[in-house]
Amino acid sequence: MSAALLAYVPTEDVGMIVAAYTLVGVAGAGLAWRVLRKGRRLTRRVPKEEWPWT
Amino acid sequence: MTSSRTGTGTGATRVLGLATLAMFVALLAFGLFNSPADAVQRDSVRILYLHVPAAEMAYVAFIVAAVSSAAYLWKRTRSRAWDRVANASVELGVVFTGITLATGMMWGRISWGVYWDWADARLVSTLLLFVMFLGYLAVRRLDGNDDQRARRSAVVCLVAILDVPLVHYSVEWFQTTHPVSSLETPGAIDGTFRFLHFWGLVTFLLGYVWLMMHANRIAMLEDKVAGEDLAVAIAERQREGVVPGATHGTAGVAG
Repeated sequence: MSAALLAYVPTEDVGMIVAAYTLVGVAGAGLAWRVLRKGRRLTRRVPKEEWPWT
Repeated sequence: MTSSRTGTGTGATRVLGLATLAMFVALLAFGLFNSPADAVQRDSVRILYLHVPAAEMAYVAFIVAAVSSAAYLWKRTRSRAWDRVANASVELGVVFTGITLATGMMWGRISWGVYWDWADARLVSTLLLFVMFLGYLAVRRLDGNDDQRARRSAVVCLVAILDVPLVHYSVEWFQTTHPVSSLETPGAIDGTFRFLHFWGLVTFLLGYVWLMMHANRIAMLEDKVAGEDLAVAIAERQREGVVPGATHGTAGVAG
């Protein structure tokens, strides 16, 4: 939101809007980090030739 | 260079992941800075750019899980692959539903003055959907072999999916506080909202596909590792003279 718009939006509303975008960003990043970490851990245990998708 | 690389990523998933990230950053920029305030909803409309696509992706994820569960239960198509897809899709569906509920509460605080209204059919049926699919994830963690777990959870999924039409049509059937879909009402919203809704939906869809691909690869590797661990354990027990034969060893072992 531009500075001019911010002046018209109640502070609590801005907080809610920013919180909503932050929540989605954090949830997405958390999920991505979880699957990538788990994938790295498991692929270290299985030889690359045996990965089912290669 | 790629031979030493570990992880479930491939060229396709990397492109998909980067596209999702770029589209989310653009959604953030459009939603927070570029989009004008709505004439009726004012700035709270910015939350709907996340809330509506998240709800639609929750539907998609649960429907994919239900179709996969049905395919697993049907003997002709029974395959562990269907169970893996169902499990991964429910996990993501629960996250999308959680986001829908949380962003909906934030929108409600601005528009209605309250976070929650127990008398609203859409809110309560969505919460019920969330709890039922949490139950699905709990059922998956019960004891039993792979087939028992897959069948039990497939049945739970097919029961829980019955709530999806209730959630979707609750705004028409019960007409409580939650507004009806603006997207389905001609002239109710302008082009900006339509565009950002579409953008958000594609962003979430790409993220869903990316996560599903990784989750499936992880599940395949977990099955492989569990099978190998079991074979090693049986061999060790045989050496100790505890297990006389190895052919019947897998029944009833939880992975």
